[in-house]
Amino acid sequence: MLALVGNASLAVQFVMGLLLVASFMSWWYIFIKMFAIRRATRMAEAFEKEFWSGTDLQTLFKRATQDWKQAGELERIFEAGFREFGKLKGQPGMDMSAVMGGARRAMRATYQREMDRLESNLAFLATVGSVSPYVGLFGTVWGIMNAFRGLSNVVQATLANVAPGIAEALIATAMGLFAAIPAVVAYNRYTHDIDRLANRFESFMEEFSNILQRQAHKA
Amino acid sequence: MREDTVKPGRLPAAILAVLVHLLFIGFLIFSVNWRSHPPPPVMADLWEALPPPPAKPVVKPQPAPKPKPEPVVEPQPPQPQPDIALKEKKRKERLEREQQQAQLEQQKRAEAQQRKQQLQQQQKQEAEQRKQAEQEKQQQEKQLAAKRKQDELKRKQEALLKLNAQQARDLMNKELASETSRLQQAQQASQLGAEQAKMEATYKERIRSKIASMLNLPENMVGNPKAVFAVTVLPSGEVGSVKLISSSGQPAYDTAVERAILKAVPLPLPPDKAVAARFRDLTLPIQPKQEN
Repeated sequence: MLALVGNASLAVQFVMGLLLVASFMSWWYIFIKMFAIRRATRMAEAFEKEFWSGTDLQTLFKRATQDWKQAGELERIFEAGFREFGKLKGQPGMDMSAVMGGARRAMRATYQREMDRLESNLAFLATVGSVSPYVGLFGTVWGIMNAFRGLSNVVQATLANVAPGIAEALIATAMGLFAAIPAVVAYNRYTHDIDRLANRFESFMEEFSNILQRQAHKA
Repeated sequence: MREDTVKPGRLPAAILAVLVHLLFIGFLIFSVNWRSHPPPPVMADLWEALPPPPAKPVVKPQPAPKPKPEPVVEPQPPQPQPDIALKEKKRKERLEREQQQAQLEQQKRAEAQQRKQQLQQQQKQEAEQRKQAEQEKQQQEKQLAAKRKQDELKRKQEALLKLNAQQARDLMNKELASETSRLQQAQQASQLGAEQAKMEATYKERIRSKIASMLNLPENMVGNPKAVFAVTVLPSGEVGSVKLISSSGQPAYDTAVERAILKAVPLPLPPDKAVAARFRDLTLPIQPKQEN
């Protein structure tokens, strides 16, 4: 197998190298995203549990500001909304709807930022998934071209003359598929997971604004 | 806003990615090696396994190929003898031809001399008649003129004779050269032929033993039947067509042999293409027990 790679022509070797890098990068992102999404869902679940268990909003907010770096996405959305709410509420002569609108905008901004962070690099997975089979195919076609060009010098063409070249060339396709399949699977899986998280965040935002509105009226 | 965020597990992810690739490459190498190594032993088995299975027949075939080359080797010494004989014959023929040609030349010369004499006599007679008729001076002049003419004629005749002789010699030489070259070619051809015949015999024996090893004898076979098949062999060693030329009298055995021939594909063919070409149309007498 190593001999097959070593004997391949320069173009095919280049394609193989490219695919190896792409494959490595895509796997790297797959694992990074896997950890990130897992952590996000875990944190969101934990925060929602705590939020709905009746804990005081002030203590939650205090904890969120203290270890902001360790906070989950949902916690940050809550923190941004509550901070803006507090600030606007403290100002005199503030309209109720303006306070609510400010808090919502702050939450939406944080939500957008967090979603962007979660979705980063997914485009790379999509690219690898859709392009690397073609790159591999290109390497294979190139290798087979060379194999058949070598065949033109032979008087009696046998399978033994072509087979090694084709085997070399086919490794490129194998590598392309190896890079593409996990990338496509991971991309589909992660977009689905992130969509679910986004739904969760959005519904939380709505619910939280309801709570804030109630509190504002109460005060 | 605060952009500082936790970047979860970059290093573990990288390590895991490397691990996945190592796993995949390891699997590939292992699986490819696992696939590519067994075939060679299988190939070797095919070649080496051929003689052992027909253990009983092989004992006979093994001596069989030896005697076969021997008759082929033996003809080699005798072959020079016919060559020598041929040479001697040809030498004799050449000598005879030379003698014949020499005789011919002598005859020609004799004839020429006779003609000359006749001419001289005629001319002399004429001259005498003229002498008698005319004056002596005129006679003398005429005689002189006649003599000159005679000389010229003589010269011409001699030149012609010489030319003829030279042409004859040239022809002889050419014939000799062509004959010697033919002889040499024949010798070379015979040597080559001997080697090719040897190769042909060994490969025929191989083909036969391979077919014999594939042979699944019918249970109701009687004696040692002999079925002769005409097989057209493709250059790749595959069998084009199998025809029964003479049946063994036992149809079950005939079909068994036919199946064995088809099963023995690819037939072992000699690497020499000139010899392999002779295997295009093979007639194979197949017997369960070889009696060569």
